Amino acid sequence: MDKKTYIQMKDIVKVYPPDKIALNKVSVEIDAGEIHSIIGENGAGKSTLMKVLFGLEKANEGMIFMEGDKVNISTPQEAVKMGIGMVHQEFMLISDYTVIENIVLGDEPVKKGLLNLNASRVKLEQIMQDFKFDIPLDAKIKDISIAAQQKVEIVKLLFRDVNTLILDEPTAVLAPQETDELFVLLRRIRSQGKTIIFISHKLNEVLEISDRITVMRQGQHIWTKDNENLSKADLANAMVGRSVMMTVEKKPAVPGDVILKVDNLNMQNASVSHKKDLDRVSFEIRSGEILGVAGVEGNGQYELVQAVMGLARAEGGIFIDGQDISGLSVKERRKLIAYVPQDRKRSGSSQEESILMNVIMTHHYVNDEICNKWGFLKGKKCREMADRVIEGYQVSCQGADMNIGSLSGGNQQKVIVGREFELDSRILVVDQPVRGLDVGSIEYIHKRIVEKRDNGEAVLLASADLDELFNLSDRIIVMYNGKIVMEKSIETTTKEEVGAYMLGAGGEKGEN
Amino acid sequence: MKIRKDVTVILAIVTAIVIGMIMLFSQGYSSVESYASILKYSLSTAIGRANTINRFVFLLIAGASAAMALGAGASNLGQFGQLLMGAMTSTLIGIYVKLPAALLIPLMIIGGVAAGALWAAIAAAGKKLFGMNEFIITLMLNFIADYFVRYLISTPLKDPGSQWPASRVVSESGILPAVGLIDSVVFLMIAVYIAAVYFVRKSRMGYEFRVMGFNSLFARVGGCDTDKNFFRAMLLSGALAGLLGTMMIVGATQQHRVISGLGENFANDGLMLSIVAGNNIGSVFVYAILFAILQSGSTGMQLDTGVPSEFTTMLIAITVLSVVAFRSYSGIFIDKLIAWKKTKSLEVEK
Repeated sequence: MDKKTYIQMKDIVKVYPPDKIALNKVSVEIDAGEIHSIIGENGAGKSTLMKVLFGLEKANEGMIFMEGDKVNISTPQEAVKMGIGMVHQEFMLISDYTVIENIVLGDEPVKKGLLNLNASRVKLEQIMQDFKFDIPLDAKIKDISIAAQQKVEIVKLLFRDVNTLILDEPTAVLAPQETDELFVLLRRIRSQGKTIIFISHKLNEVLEISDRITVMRQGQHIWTKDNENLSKADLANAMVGRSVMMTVEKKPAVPGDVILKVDNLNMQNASVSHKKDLDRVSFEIRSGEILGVAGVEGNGQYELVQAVMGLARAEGGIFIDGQDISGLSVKERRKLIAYVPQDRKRSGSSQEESILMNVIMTHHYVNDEICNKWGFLKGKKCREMADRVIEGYQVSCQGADMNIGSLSGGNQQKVIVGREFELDSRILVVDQPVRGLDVGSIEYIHKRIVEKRDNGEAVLLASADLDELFNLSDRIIVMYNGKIVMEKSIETTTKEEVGAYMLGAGGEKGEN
Repeated sequence: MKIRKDVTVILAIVTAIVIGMIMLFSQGYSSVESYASILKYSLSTAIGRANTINRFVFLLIAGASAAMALGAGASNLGQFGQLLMGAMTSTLIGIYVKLPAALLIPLMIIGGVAAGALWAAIAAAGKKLFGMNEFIITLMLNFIADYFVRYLISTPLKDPGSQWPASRVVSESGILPAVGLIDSVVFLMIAVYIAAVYFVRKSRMGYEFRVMGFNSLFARVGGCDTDKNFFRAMLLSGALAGLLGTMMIVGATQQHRVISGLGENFANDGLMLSIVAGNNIGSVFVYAILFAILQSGSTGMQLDTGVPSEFTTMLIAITVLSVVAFRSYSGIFIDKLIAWKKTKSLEVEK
């Protein structure tokens, strides 16, 4: 090997209590000055491995060497001192502080007990110039885009003279064009001799940016290879351990009558008076059709779903089969709409209760089978239903009395999907249904969503993942600043076009 | 899962008892003798047993009242006020309404239950209309009820024959007779408790209550009417407290009149019971037995050993803390243990 091994992680074992083996004797070597991708499904252990390196998680066993010397990294502060920095998926920024304040936070230059930002400004401007950053140092974080916030996080690390940057799924929050820009930046950082560890599960991106690739599966290191002559299929097979279908097989849609109609829906932002979360939103979904809702997070998709479900107040018409439901309670709407919310732990389940208690939610009043007319639950029928969901949706667990919180994310989601899909609904609203799940669960849940469509339900799919939207949707709408800025059938558009509209570059439909 | 929980609780109670022994020992008392005399006075004699049972049912309903609300995520800390208003109302009915027992007692119960529920409804309405936090309102309403009742029993309704503030005694027909040594309100209250447990465990609304107690947002997204349920839980909790107040008037072993601070101990114990039972109305039962034994044996213990009867109050508090601590920590501890074993097993493979 001509390159020098910079960081070596040897036989790392991490067991999450009680007995989940997150890392099973994983060994990885990172060379100086390379972009090294670590890929794997969710739950494969790639984030955990990096958290161990960054001192956020304590490994049960194993050693870390830097340039041949054994090191002990037990806090992020120590990691930064040794030149290792990490950008998390959730940014650690204070939105009311300016960019420069956020960058120096925790390492503030002080003169006579007072903050002296100018001392840092010189160094920062040098960094900005070296790496060609273009972020306004005095703007508040809340006023700059997500992509710019991500750059702030990177500058924060460079400011602390970090040599190794760990980026945890940095492209998950970016539109395609922003991703390209990030990659240019990462290459520039590499050219200055820094090492970058890139965590992702998006295979295209990994192949594009990496010098070397490490694949992990179920807590184990599968292989590390130079990025030469590797294909997407190579990576996917190594990640999953078998060959996978990259797309969901589905028949062409056979749309029927309009079931859900949203007409001129408006929602006022709760804190900013001139801002609208939903701005004249109108669309229709027909029976047997999946409508995908795309958008960078925070552009009204979440609010739209909340408004349709009756969980948030909005002005305007929402019709099911021509009947105005905008005045109906959540309870009444749930009789017609199955709903998989995006936040599985808070909105989708009660983590400290059994699978049984979680499964009968909503059914307990729409389904006469499990509740008699005097308002008492039929214990046996409830249990039958829980068993049916466990079996029918391949939930791996030890029976319906287990707490749902003790299941893996994928199995929790299967319980939730099972509960909702068992409802006798006309409309299916799914919001980020597979976020954070392993490939197997994703495949499975996607298949069931298509089944629902083929059974004649109208499906509203909100997702931040363009691959998911393009795999499932029959039609797609793009939301930007609370407005629908694009509506096209899936065959007539491309990811690039949708990406452009997500960033607001496509002009705005329906503008006066 | 289930067994693990039971073991945890037993360990916690044993720990509390040991801490109690250490405290007794440090003060020069014989701990074994003190515990033995608690059991002797609460369980070994017929009078002791009757006393324990009478106390137990009052604790049971107090605990059920607290758990009904807390278990549904409604922070009703106003059992004392609701109990007092219930007791006051049924006392007024018992003094001024002239009816035979068969009509008067049901009327007193209805009045007391309604008054308790109404007092809780004020708090619930405060939350609904003004967005106030119910636990602040219920606490404040306790003071209002307390001083209002103190005023009533020291001025307009004061029993002229009494030296201290106290209402008059209700008429003869407003008192339920005892069955032997056991107060007949015992049977009524146990029946109410069973109905309340059945309601929470088996009914649709009880299911919604329980889910709300764990995760209100999930219940709302699932279509439960969480606002209405909150109101209902408050009302039911207040109604149970009002019932308790009424029972403190009509019970044969009781004083049949309102005195100041009536039922305050039970109200506090009820909250403790709910907390120690994890706000699970069914689990209140076991702890109510424990509390009743300790409380009813305390005076006897003082007679025999000279240990102040307040010791049992302290022991109960230690038990509550111990159970809660064990419950919170046992999961973490056992999980760590399993994780450690798992790591070792990987080592062996290597």
